[in-house]
Amino acid sequence: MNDSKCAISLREVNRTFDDFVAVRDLSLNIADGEFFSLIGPSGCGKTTTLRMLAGLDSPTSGSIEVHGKDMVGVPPYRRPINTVFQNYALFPHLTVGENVAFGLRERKTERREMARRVGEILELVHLPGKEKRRPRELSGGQQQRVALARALVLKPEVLLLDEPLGALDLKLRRSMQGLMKEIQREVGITFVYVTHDQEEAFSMSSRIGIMNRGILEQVDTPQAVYRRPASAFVADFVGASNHVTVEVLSVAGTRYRVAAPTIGTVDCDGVDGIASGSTAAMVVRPELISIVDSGTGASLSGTIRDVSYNGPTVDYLVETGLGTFAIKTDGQRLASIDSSVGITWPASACWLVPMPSELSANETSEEATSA
Amino acid sequence: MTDSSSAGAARQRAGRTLRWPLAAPTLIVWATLFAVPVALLILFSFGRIDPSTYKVSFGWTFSNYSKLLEPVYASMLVRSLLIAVASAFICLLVGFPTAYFISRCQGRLQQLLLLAVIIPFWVSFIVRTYAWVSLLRNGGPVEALLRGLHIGSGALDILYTPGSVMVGMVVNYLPLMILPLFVALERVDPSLEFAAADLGTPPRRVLTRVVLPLSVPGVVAGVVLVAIPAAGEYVVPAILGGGKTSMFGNVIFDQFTKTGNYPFGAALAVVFIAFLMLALVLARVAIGSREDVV
Amino acid sequence: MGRIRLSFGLITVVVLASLYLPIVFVFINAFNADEELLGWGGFSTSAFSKVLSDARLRHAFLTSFTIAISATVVSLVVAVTAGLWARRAGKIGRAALGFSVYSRLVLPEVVLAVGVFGLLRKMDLPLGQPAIVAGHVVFLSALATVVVQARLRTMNETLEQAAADLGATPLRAFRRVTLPQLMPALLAGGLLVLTFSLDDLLLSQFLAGSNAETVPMLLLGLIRFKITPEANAIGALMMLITVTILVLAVAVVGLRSGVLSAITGSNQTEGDQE
Repeated sequence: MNDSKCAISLREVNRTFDDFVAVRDLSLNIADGEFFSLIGPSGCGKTTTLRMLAGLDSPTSGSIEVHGKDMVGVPPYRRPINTVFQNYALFPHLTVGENVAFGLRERKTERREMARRVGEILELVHLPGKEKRRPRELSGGQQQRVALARALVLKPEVLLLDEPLGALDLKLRRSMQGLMKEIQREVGITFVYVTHDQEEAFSMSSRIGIMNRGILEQVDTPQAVYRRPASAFVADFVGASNHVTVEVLSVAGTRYRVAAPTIGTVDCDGVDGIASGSTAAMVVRPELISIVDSGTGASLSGTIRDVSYNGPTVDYLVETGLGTFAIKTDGQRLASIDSSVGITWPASACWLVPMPSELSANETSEEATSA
Repeated sequence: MTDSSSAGAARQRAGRTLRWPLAAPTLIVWATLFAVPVALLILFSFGRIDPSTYKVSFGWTFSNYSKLLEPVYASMLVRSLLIAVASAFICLLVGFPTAYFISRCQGRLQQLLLLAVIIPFWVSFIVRTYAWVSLLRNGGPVEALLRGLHIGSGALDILYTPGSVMVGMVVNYLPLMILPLFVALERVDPSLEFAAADLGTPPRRVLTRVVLPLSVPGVVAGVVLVAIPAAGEYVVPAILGGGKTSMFGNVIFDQFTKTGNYPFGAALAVVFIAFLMLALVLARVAIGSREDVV
Repeated sequence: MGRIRLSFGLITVVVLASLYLPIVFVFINAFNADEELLGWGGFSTSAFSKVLSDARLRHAFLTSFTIAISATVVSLVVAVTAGLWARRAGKIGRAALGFSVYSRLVLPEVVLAVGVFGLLRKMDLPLGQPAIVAGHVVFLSALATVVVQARLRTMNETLEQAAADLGATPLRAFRRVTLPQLMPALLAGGLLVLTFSLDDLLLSQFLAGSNAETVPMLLLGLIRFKITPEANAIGALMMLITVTILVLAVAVVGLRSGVLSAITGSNQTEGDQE
């Protein structure tokens, strides 16, 4: 990615609060016109990162550039960046039209021009003619679109969105996602989207960054993040995954031969740089595991502990000697609870990641909320 | 989590540039018009006054405080406290049922009753006070009413007694009792009363065992809000006491405006502040750490 | 609970009667033609015409309003800056502000009056209108701070951040976002402070010196010896003014948010969140 095409460039950004590190050594380039999502559990530092981009917070160290201009120390009102806030932050004392025109008035836009642009942008977010309404007279989804219009009308170089759909119900969220994607394509502005909902991020973004405990663990396309997670945390966060602790026998580039207890030797791909002789985690996606009759060519045998029927899929929890496995099947073959089954998966379904540190993802988020 | 800590950081940053200019007005008012005057009163209270020039010379004498023990002043002190406490108690006695009644009314009626309690409080204090002179005097309406109820006969001489002062205090300060009580009682969930009744508690016991304990913060707040200003009240004793029932406020006032004995007046004021602080500490203890009502 | 409710209702009626009896009495006697006020001497508006043409009273009204308006303006400035300070201050700053408000609210008026009086004497500063304003501001700015802070607590700081994000400088954000939202509290607080100042007697009496006279001072002088229809007429006028102000305040901001929190110092704002 060369610099001229780079909308945002963060270099070794750190943000600490007293003794709490909110963001650690974060470096990231976001291309012009990209729909970029930053995801992670609450307390992972994604919102802090967004606030530093907006200028509502400043990094303890490191640099932030927007289209090559240094932004550190520039107050929010002088940045070519606008934000859609988590709870919309619509001004209750102003009408919808006045809300949308707020930034235009700060720029001393001529009255008629202002009215024209407000009308245009409300059309874009499917709220034509709602200028005279008060924010509280609108539904949650409509308020959200006003917040979007208010930021977009200023034609920012970058639009930041902080969990903009968090307060909406599931159905509305899905339709708003579609609208958001459509608008982004139409205006071509760089979107930086923060959410804790990985499904939402997957469906909209060209690339995703996953943060955990202040560290950006991986940046890649949704497919790559899902298929080739950089860490056990990422594998867990972007969809339930099963882990088997294995010993690395030999390494050839990113091709590994590992020894798994009970299962035996497996050849699989994995993250670069795992040392031979070390312990690592082998990740297997639930949907790549099949349930078979116990004994016949199964990798593992176990007992079904839970079955949940979801319509198109059926989920199982199978207890084995290596722990409990989550399995997602197409529902063609139904097994009943407490029955003994075998489970198996192809070697190509395995992906090797470094051993997670003692703290699991769950503990991390708990620690963050209590901090 | 991250939100709140980074909001804190933004606050810190904004604070560095704006904190002191914003703090200045409050701090200046407080320092020059509160702290310095109070400190000066304390200094005065240990000083002497030259009877011929009326100049106060700072010293280190307790004579101003020992003068308080003279019967005239000691009885005034006791009377002030008694009247204040008694007024607060009577306010509580009539205020509690009123506040409870209002808190259990609904919607518009409740709003209307509240407003009815508040309005008199904002209507000229002095006017409301002197109106009682006409109401309480011999041959006045109150006397006529009492006679009609066969409570007394002949000239009742209510006016210009500690009793008339207390009437003025109670009526004038009642809103200050009712409002905090209302706030506290409104927070007592009525379903608790239903629950108690359901468990077989008779109505009167529900009041004393459920409602009253839960409204303690309001009771304490009301008592403090009434007793403190009542103890230092000047207008009511001046008008309804007819110069016969002088209280703390009147004596302090006279020391500064008539007698010109600033050091003694200051000593009275300091003693008053001491009583006040004691009362506030007691109130805090009574409420515990439950609420910041007082 | 029926019987208890009934008796409590009766007590409420008696309480309200005792609150309004003196007010009604003053109003009626302001129209009483009997100079001695011993009985009803017939309807007359002569007391009002006498009072309204009295130069001394007109002067006292002017003095009262000058003092009240000055005290209100100063108190609101102190209150708003204090409220904004509280949002930015750390723990120590907040505690300091809390203590300064609390201490000013609980200090008895007579102590405040003699303290400020003593200070002015000591510094050889003159008594009079500015001294009265200063005295009023001590208590009234604390009262106004309580009202403003109650409102600020319900206001979301992200709104100011949103304004900054949309290009408003801190000063512009204050003017376009903070101030308009604070307006109900400023109105309520301001009107309450105004009526308090208009009604004050003790502080004014102490700090007036010989060249300032407010309406309550004049009234106290009048009733020292005898209560006349004129005194009642002045009282009626004063009550009309304060009631008008109060009704305005309630009409503008509602009962709960402004008035109640102003008196009790508690934070009753549910009904007011927009």
